[in-house]
Amino acid sequence: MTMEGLFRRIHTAMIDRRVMRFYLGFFLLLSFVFIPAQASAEEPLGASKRLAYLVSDIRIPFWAIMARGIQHSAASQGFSVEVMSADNTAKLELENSVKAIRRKVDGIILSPTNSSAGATLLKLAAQAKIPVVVADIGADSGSYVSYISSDNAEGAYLIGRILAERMHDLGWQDGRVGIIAIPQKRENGQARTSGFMRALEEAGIKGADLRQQVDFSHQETYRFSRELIQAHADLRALWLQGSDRYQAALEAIRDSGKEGQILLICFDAEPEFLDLIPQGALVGAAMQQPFLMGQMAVESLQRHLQGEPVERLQQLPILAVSADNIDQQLPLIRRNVLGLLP
Amino acid sequence: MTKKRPSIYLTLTLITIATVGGIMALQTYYSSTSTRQQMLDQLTAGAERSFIALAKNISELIAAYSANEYQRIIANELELKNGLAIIVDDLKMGEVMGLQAYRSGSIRDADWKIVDFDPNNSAQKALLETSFYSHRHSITNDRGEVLGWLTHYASDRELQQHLDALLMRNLIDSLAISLLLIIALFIAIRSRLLQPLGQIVKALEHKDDDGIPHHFVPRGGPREIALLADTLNRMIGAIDHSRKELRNQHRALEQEQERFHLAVEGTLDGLWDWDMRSNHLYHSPRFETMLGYDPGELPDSPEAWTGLLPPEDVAMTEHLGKAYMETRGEGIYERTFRMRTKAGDWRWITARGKAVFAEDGTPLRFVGFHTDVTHMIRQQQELLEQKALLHYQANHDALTGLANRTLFNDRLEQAIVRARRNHSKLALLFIDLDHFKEINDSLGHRAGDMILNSATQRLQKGIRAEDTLARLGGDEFTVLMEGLHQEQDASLRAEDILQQMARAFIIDGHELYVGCSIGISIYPDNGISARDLLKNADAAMYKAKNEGRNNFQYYSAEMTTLAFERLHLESALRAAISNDEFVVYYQPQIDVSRRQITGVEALVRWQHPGMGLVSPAQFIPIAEASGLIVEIDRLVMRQAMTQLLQWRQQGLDTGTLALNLSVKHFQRKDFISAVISALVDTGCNPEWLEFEVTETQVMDNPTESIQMLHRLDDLGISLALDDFGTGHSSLAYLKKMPISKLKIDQSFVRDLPDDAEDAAISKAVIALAQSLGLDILAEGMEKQVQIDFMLEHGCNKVQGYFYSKPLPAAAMTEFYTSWQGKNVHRMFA
Repeated sequence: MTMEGLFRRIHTAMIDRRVMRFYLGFFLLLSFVFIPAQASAEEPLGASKRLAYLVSDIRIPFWAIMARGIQHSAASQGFSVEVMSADNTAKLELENSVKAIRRKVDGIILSPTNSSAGATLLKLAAQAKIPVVVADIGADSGSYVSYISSDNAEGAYLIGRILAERMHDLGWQDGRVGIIAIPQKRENGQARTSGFMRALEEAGIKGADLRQQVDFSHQETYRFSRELIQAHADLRALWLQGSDRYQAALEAIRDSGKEGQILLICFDAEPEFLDLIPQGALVGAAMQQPFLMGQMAVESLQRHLQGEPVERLQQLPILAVSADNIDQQLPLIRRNVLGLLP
Repeated sequence: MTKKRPSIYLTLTLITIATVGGIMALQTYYSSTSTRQQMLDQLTAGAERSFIALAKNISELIAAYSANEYQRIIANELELKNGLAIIVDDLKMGEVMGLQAYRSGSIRDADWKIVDFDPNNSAQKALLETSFYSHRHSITNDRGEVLGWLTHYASDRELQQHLDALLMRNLIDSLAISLLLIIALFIAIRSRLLQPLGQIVKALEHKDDDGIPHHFVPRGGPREIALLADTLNRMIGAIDHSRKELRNQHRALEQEQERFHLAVEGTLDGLWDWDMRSNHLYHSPRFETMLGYDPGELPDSPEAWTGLLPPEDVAMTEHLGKAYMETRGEGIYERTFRMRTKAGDWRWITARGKAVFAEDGTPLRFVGFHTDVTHMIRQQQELLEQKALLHYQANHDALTGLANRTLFNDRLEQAIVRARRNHSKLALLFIDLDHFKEINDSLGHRAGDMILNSATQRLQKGIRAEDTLARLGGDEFTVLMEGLHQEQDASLRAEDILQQMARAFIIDGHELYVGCSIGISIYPDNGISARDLLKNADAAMYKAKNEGRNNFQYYSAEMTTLAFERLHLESALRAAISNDEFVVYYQPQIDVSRRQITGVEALVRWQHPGMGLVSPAQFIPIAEASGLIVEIDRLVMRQAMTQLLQWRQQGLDTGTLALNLSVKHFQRKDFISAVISALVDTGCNPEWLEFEVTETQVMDNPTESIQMLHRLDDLGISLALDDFGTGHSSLAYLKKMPISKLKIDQSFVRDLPDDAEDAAISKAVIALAQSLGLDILAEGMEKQVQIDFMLEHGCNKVQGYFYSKPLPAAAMTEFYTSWQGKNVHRMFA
């Protein structure tokens, strides 16, 4: 897909993609710099409820977007919310939790650094009798109002089907698919692998091999990709269970001299994907909806505080985006995935 | 009585049951305790080992704030170890949460299920407190920093269940064994012990009125019971034998008593027996006849006995008796004393005796003999008198009764020891009669002996009481003089002796002139041994003989010269008194601050017709030594008092008249009356006078001197202490003296203000006078700086050449006039 095509596709949304990328970058910068200040500006007035969002690392766009969804929803409910980033350190996360509990907030939305830490934080909150909604990353144990996550298995299944269709279209159904996976110890890792494999099985496509990421580095993804390509001559596709190291995979395909012979498909989204998918550099991507997740977390808390029942487990669908449906999905992507409001 | 006591059968039964039961209970208890301890040791050892590993495992999780991770591990560990609880005190989490430690872990609930530990759960806390064992282990990182604590609590649930079962089993076993043991012991004891004992008891029941069995007891049963039967049989035999012995002894005792009575009656000694409990004193008739009483005439009380002692001996006799009692009768009491007979004369009695005491030391009885030792004592006294006579004869001259050579040598040696110790001198005078040999040869030995006796009497008059006079043999006599102040003092004694001996002896109508020559040696100057002193005095005596007899000579020529000079001066002094050669000079005493003459000191001067004006330093010591000072002082006193009145009549403001007073005056009985008559005769007021005494003289005999000073004070005469600081007054005496003034001696003033030591002494004397409220005057002022020094330190009154040397009366009159004129001039200037 050419740049002009892409231009045309997003024209309906009256936004140039470059403009959108600018906005996205700008927003990330804003959220990084201003979210704490903004939060403090939204200190409670009178009897308004106060919430705290305990997030593992606000520097990561996914969480920043979710925070925005939370803030957006909280504002409309008349809540104030304080976003507290742990910057991916256990100590800061714990300090944030203690701070929130000391301030006696009315509710906590928790995206812990890992599920084990989540259990500890839930315990502390339970002791202080503060209701907690867990968003995306779960907890090993503990009591909470609701756990909102993406339906990883279904998302992976859908993206698997997109890949299978593409391989059929190209007549590569005998080729194999290599997987560079997030750690399979993680629940979402397992769900993604099983959903994806189900789609391949249904399509009669064989999986090649699976490498689990350890340090999530560019170099690691590049090495894994080269190894898979080299080990399997009939390899026709690579599935990256994350999104941020897609570049490494593309480089490996190119350096192996297999450009145009091996497909790449991802999970999660990067702003560049809005270009790369229509261009065909990527077959597709399964996109979670962090903005929506944030909104749902606030709504769940609000219902709980009003004494209404809340489902203990809530799963959000994942958008399986390919060149074929990217135009239809764009409004949803903009709002729920990228958190851009009209 | 015996029937009420439990039987041996019952006693043994109780002992057996108690012993077996007790041992079994102890054994059960010991077994349970050791099993429990064993289990406990296993448990604790296992727990400690596994906890070291566990602490190591979770230290990284604590460091990473992964509380949930380690809590899972702990829950698993608790499940595995079947413990009660494992609690972690996480210091890292605690730090973040503002707590001392974040306390979490796992604990069992009532159903023994593992639940999370909640520090706020009181039931869980109570459970932990009742845990029967807990172990705490620190959690450290690789660097050894303490991250927290791991505490393991164990329940005694299983242990208790196990022990309960064990205890029950042990109890049943013990009961069964005890029962069997008791039954077996009963059967054995009954057949082996009780039956033979019963037979012995039965035999013992057949006894006579004294409780002694008629027959021997049967012998049977084990060794001890057979031994008991043997012993009883021996005792029964022995008692029988003893009865026979006792009867024999009783008869012997009766014979003994009879013998004793006969002995007491036959002896010359008197028996006494004091029963101290009843205070009854028995004495045999012999004691009474010893003192001339009829038997039974003396009362039988110790007081009556004491009444026979001389009153002065009673206290000592009682004291010695008590002293003997305090020794608890150690040895024999023996004392000899006098006792009055019925006729009133005294007999010497020796009491010898011995006391018997109770176990607590109380005397019960005191028994002994009185022996009349009067005859023996008299013999002893005669013997002593003879001995003393022999001793006297050995040390004394038979003719004159004087010490002989032996005694004199002994006394001389002792005197040398004393003189060496006291650093004093002594003189030995060797006297030889000049013409004795001729008299002896011409008039016979009897006349010679009479001369020697008369000479002895005269010599005794010539010496002091404390001097020793001896006759060495023939016509040789010696005199030992101790405590000599000056060597020349011996010459005074020699002069006296010469005078005494110069007079004629009247023997059988003959007027005989004997005379003597005297040699003097001085310790230590002329020898430090008795032998040398005697030899040198003898040599000096021969020198005197060579000098024409009837004189004395010192062993050294210089001493002789000095002695003659002194004798010459002394006789000149005597003449001076009768010739009225003494003149009084006056030295004014000035109050510098008030520019006033406060008095004059009268000073004696000797105007000798040949020698001119003799220095007081030359003649005052001789006048002091010879006692002439009293006459001289009295002359001066009268002369000065007359002069004082004259001045006052002339209208001069004389101030006080200060007179020097030797303490020799105090030895004169007429001293106070002499002072009073001088006052009356001259018309002087006692308030105008001040007597100055020297500190040194007063301190020679402080008690007597102070008494005399008080009498002067009572007359109204002021007193000053002269030469203060040169002697060694006790402050206590100083306070007792009625003095009103201290005079600082000129020897302290001479080098003022340059001599630091003199300055310090002067300041101290001034301060002392001020603190005692005494007036103070400094003598010997010659320079302005000395006066300035005194003024600066609070002494305003001075005397000395700076103002005036001692002046004759006429010159003093002029001084008064010109001083008053100056003052008048200054007043109008």
